[in-house]
Amino acid sequence: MARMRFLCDAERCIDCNACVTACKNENEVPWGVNRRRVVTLNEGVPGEKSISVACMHCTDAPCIAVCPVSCIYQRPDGIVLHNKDVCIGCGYCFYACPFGAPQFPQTSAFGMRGKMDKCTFCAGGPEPDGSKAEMTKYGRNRLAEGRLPACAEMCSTKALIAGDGDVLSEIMRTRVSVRGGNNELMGWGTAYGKGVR
Amino acid sequence: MKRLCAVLCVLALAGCGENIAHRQERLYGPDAYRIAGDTVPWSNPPWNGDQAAWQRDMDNRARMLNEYRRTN
Repeated sequence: MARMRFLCDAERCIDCNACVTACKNENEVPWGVNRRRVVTLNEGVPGEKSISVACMHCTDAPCIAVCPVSCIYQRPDGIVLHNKDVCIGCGYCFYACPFGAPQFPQTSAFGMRGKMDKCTFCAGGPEPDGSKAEMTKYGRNRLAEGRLPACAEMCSTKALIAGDGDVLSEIMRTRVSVRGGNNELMGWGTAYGKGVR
Repeated sequence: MKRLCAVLCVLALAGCGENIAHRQERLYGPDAYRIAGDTVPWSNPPWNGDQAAWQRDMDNRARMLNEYRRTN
């Protein structure tokens, strides 16, 4: 069974935010909610690195563990989805998530929170595939149409790639071998520098 | 009165009896999506339940993200 994954190559990301725009457009994400965002480290300093972040569909997702109403579940392909009909908007998942992926639309005045919204890996939710209800609540189900998430397919530099983990590893191996050099061409050292502050 | 208190205590403690293993299986297990009312993407046409064909198509699509492969 495949394990669906996102992988962002910090050497390629140019902070264009096309992934953010593609996600919002494809899933008709409401105002004030960003399922994906681009984070730049050392912004303005030569050698800055950008990385596109959304729900990472963790193998042992902490949001599932803390949800008091058990509305979040994991599919056999590793994608973490949730049921908005069950969600009570408590925000525990937001505190548990190390990436800040769960988003909460402001539904009325006084900062009242709505149902949790997050990246679905363009896999919709627990409504009939391709239905209007699924589109309204969770966004487009591209996986059921045989397509990959819009953010990855729209990425102009192909910094953000999505798909089965084995295929992504294969792509990254090719990239690193073509770039040449040493191990610093990818990994922790590239993304976060040498640890000098 | 004592009997009523005992019954109420038993009822109150009944909520603490959630089976953690069952919860794990329900949320992370292979049937988690089915219990939540979801369907797998390969259940739709043109795959009609052929998981291997869907997987092959998705892998081929993911490989198209590799421009080295596209240009060569």
